[in-house]
Amino acid sequence: MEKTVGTIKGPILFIENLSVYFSDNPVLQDVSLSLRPGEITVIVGPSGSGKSTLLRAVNRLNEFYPHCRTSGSVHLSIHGKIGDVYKGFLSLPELRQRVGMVFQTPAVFPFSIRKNLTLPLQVNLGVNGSALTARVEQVLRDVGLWDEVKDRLRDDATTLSGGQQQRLCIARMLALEPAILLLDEPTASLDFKSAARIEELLLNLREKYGILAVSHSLAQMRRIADRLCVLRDGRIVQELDQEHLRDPDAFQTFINVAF
Amino acid sequence: MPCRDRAEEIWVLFRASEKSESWIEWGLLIATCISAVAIFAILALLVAFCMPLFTLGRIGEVLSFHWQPTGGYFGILPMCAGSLALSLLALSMAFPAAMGICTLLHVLARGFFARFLLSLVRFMTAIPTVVYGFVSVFLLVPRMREWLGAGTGFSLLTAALTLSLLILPTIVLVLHARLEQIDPVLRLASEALGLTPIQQMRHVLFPVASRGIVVAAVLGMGRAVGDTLISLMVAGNAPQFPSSHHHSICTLTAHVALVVATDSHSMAYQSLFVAGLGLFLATGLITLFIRKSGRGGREVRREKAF
Repeated sequence: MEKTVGTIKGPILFIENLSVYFSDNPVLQDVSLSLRPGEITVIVGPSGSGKSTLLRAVNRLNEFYPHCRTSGSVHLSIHGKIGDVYKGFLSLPELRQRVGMVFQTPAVFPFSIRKNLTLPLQVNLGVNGSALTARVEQVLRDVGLWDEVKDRLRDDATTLSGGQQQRLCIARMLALEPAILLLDEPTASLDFKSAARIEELLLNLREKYGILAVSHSLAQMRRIADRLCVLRDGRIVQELDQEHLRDPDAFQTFINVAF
Repeated sequence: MPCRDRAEEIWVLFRASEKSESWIEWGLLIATCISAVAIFAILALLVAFCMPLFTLGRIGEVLSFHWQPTGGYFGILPMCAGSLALSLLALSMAFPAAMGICTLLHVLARGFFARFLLSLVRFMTAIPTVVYGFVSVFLLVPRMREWLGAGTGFSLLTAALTLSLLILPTIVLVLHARLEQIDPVLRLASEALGLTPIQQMRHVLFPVASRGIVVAAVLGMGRAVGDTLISLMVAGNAPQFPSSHHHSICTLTAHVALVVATDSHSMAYQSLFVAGLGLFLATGLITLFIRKSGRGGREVRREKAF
């Protein structure tokens, strides 16, 4: 078990020399990265460069897949305590509650809208009764879905549109009160209008959470990213901060180098 | 004109395939009709053989709790109760075991162990029923006689234990097939929400596969009701109401097998057709239930609102 090393300020997530292998094939090599609260860091890179693997390394979801081996460290700062998630800092359920994740395609459960939100709350946190109802309403308001679904909470979640389903997935993740959000191309399967709503939502959520996202859209990464990291062949080859993101010439140079 | 020739060639091929498909359709239609006629013929035969009992007013004798042919009592209700008790008891043992095995296969066991377990379950389907019965007579019956401390060991419980082994692979494989169809993204999403493997199974995968669970249980029940050899070899064949787990019982199927082997004209023989009709209707209802539940739109029932 990792020891508590005191209260810290600054980054909420530090990844150091992280390498991930699947069946001894390296997918990530010596990746180091940090994330601060109130910041959106976007990972970009060609397909197969290890972007999703990097996200899944943070909440140890790579272990879901067979023949995965991870080395290096992923330190989290939670309530003033820091520890390496690969050295037992948090149990897996608690880690995944603290580090929420949303996937490329909306992964709603084929239950009612309400049950999609109450299930993890009841099972993970034991929230029930009026507190549960209040939490459901709050997270639906946070993602701007309350007015659209308040009269149909008992309806099947799969009857929602793609964009609504993705916002429901974000609400389900927020209901567990995470500290870090991992977003694996959350707008990739959505139309322009739905994607714009999700982007707006992410910009609002930035205030409260540290967000590590993967995106393929250059325009989107310019709009939402505070920092860009380019991943190629499992290594971070370039980083760009917000100042350079706003500079069209610097951004173009960055894109040329990155891709 | 090469293009025109080619078009004609395609047209000829299309007509030929249409013709052969029409033959296939006719063949399948005839096969379906023969199957349907055979089933209705069996039903008609059973009803026809049961009719004398109705017309002579002796159906009451058959639908009674007393079976003693030498005394003129031909009640088959103890056998009906025996079939029901044995099937339900076997199902109550096999069903939780099947749920546990499926949990192991889908969320707990990995790699070699999962593959080995599945192979073992598949292998169980290939074991002839008589082997289960034979092994049970020589291994389980003496142990049960010892453990229960009452009866001969040929009992409802012994037969139920043996029968549960027989129906276990049916339930496991049907449920496993349904769980395999579930989108892996749901499992990944549950994992990402911090649900433990057991919680994923209990709160996500099993509710999503709820209809598959019902179908697996009903199929297992159907297999248990229809089985003859286990009850014939292990249940003791005493035509009495199953009032205790260590009592010998007789099931409808075993009863039919026993009477047919020794009789062909008496009232006891006549009563078999009522037993046959009962079994026919029971399996028919089970099949109808499975088909009806397979046709429904939603697998997961909506839960209560706030």
